[in-house]
Amino acid sequence: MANVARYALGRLLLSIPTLIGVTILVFLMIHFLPGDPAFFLAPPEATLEEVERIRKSLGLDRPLYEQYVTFITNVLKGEFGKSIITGHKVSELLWPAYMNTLILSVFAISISIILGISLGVLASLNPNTLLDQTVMSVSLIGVSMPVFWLGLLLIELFAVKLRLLPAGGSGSPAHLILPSLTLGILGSAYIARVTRASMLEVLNRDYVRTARAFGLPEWRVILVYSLRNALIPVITVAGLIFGYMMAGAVLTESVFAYPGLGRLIVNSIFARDYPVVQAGLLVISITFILVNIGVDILYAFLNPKVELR
Amino acid sequence: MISLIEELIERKLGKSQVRMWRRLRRNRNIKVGGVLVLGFIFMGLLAPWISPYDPLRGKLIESLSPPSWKHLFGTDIQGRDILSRVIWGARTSMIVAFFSIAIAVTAGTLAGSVAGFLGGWVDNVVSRVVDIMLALPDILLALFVAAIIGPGLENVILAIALYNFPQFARISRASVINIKQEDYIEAAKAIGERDVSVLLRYILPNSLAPVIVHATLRTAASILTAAGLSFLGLGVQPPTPEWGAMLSDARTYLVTAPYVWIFPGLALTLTALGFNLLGDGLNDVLNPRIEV
Repeated sequence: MANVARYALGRLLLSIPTLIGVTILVFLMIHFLPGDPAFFLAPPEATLEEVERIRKSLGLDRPLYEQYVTFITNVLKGEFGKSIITGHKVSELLWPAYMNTLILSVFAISISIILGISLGVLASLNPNTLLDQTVMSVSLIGVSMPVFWLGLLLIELFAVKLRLLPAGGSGSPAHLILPSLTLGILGSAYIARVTRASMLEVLNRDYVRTARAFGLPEWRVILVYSLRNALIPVITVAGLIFGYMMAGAVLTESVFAYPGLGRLIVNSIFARDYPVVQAGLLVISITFILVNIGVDILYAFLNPKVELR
Repeated sequence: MISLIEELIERKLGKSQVRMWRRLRRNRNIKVGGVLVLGFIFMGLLAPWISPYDPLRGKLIESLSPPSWKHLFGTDIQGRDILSRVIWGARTSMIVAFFSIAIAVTAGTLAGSVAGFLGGWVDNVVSRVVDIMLALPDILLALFVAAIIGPGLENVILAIALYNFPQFARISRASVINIKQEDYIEAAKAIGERDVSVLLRYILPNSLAPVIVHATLRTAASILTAAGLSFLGLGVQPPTPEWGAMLSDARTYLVTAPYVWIFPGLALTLTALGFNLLGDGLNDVLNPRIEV
């Protein structure tokens, strides 16, 4: 236990350079753009005097490293400035969208885990049968399918043909079903493949054979002795997929007009609302990095054999 | 005919290569994936000759006509033949995938192998940069690039090359470090081969297998990401025929004309499936660890 705590601390410390790197990247974005950064941060209808005032107030006339220090101080205080289009505080736009994406991802990963593990276990218990091959083929097709196309297919089926669910938007739990199903099916394809591989490996281990030899009922052998151990890599993969969902839900959100963080960023890119783009990219990246750290720590906790450095 | 060609190929190869070739041929994933990938490349290369209509010009009078003998996949809102646009879309995807993966493999292999070979501060710098880039998910890096340099074919290629780069750098670094310790490298050094020639003549060729496997798998992901960017309107711009952009256009008349979005999506899925199968198959054959 103490080992895991030390590992967790070390892992957090090791991620500091990465986090700083990401903030530098997002900070520099404005300066990568061809042209005067002050113009990108000023409202489109701003006069020259207003642009100058923004330049002063943001310190854009000072050296780059000073600007970065100001930027990072503001970020740590949770201040991302104002949207240059609507004038709202960026944080007020960001958090509702963030919560929406979080809710979507939580639902989606739950679907992925339930569906993926069931299919993977089913396939692994009947290796090389028609069932196994079907599960594997379907999951490979799932991995290869563009998520936005899957979304359109589900809209066609459930919203247009069957008229069961809304095709897009938000506001009620029913609006969540299709987007989370879309994201979730995709994730379940990966999880099914990992579960099957992991189960097949565990089912050949000595302790499983011993459990069988002792005449334990088959469901116990599978559920208690095999699955519990086989799930360790599955949990890791599920964690990584959750991170990808948080960061990559933008396509799904776009298909279903779901007001999440990815859609906010894309709309802001089109509107050239750079303070929102910066803040959004920063928040998503940090979430993704933190989720990955969490997954590493969880893996270390679950698997005592892992080499802790 | 095919068996004759196969015989000729086998006669040209050494004994161990014959065994490898036979294993490649027997692998079902490689067969199915290979056929899908070849079909995709065939469509992309021969688009000007095999597409029945001009992909950019349609008759407005034929707007949104359902599939028929005249237009096998139907027509879109501007009356353009969807089959022709799907065929030309293969060419767009092929260009994006080929150039972005080629740039990423070249730059990544170069950076990774130099870092692995030299070690020290060079390795440290390359590895840190790679770590930071890998800490960000694909689509996010692509969005990042799109936000800065804007949409367009060249920019999509650049965005996708950029997010693939660190993966190839990491893979080739790892395999160079592995191979560096082999006896034959020691031997080459002992007889006075220069560093550059050791790297180019002995280490790089032997470290290529994992790079090839990964490049095949990444091609699938890259085609999907490129289509995703175009779907969002941040990728290849209209009127260029592109599968993701076609899907995005079709959203407006989702209900009335499903054939407008079914076929481009099917083409995308089959292409990505082909590269995934091929990559899996190559991995089974080229990566002997699996057999243990």
